[in-house]
Amino acid sequence: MTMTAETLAPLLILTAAREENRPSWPRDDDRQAVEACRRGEREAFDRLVERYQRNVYRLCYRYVNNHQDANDMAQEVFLKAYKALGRFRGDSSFSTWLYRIAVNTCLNFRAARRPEGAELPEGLADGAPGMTERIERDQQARRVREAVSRLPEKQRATLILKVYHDLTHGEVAAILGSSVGTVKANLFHAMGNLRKLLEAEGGE
Amino acid sequence: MTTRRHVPDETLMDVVDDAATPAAQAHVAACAECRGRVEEAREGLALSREAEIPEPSPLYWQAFRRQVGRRVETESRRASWWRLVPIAAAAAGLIAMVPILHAPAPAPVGPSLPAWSALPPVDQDPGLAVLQGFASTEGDLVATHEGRGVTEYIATLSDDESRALADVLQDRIEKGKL
Repeated sequence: MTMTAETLAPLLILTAAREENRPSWPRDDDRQAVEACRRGEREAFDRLVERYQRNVYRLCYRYVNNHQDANDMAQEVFLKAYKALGRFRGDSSFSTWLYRIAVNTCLNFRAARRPEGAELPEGLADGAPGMTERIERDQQARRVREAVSRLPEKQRATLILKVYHDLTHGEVAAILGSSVGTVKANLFHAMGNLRKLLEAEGGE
Repeated sequence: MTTRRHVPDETLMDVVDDAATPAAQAHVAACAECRGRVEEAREGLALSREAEIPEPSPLYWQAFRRQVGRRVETESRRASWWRLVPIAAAAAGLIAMVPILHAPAPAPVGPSLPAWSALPPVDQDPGLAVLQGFASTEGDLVATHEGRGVTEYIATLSDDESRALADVLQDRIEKGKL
């Protein structure tokens, strides 16, 4: 495969996304930002939004598989977090607390699923080999996302947090209110079920 | 044939993560069923990593923060308004209480003599009978102090003045001059 800007771009985006999933800022910065928010410093909350907007958006996207709903839900997550700042006791990290709000928001989301993106015109399928591979990759990604969305709620939440947000078993357990053992078991079941779903979808 | 106990699913997850104990790894190596489940989970893990999501443009994140900021601002204003509601309710209650707290004392019914311990009981007070006689004939008397009637004037006397008037009246009664 020839490495062009077109083929490199998705890889660079994915690499940046994975790096951003693990914030490198110290936990104290979050705590200070929360205290500043409580004092009425609105820009402190904007800093928190800037830090976590990508992670929250991606989490929401994994649940709804479309941008508009993910955008709406992500905004709702931050608004809920802002209203609940007074109740954040610091028992867990701010990111864990925010993830918990995000997962609960996603689980409660009841909006009608928007129609999936329109099929690409057939003409594009006949384009350059790079374009064809990209289309196939996008289609496979969509199939996997749809299969993930069909997993049971706990398994889906566990898989999303562990695989796509690279959280530890302990962090996932804290977010979902489970034990580490339960997280591992749910993840194990999720991966096995995911494979079965995709196999059944593309089965001969 | 012995029945082999399988390891728990959470332990199989450790095997997937290459973080299992040697005993667990040995079991999986020897147990076809557990080995099959581990392989199935590994395939699922690999497939799940193919589910990339479209990354919005950098401009989207700026717009997102602005939208969140606007909603936070609206929420702050709404919360400030609601915090004022109980304060406003309390203030309204206090304002409503003002007329009650500052209600003028009810006007006295008729003239009333100041009470002091030196006055004898009513049924033993001849001076009171004199004063009451004055009150009944007020209309025949010339207006006294500042155009006010006798009864009104008596009501305005101080304690000492009232006592002095009672003494004078008592003296005159005893001497038969009234």
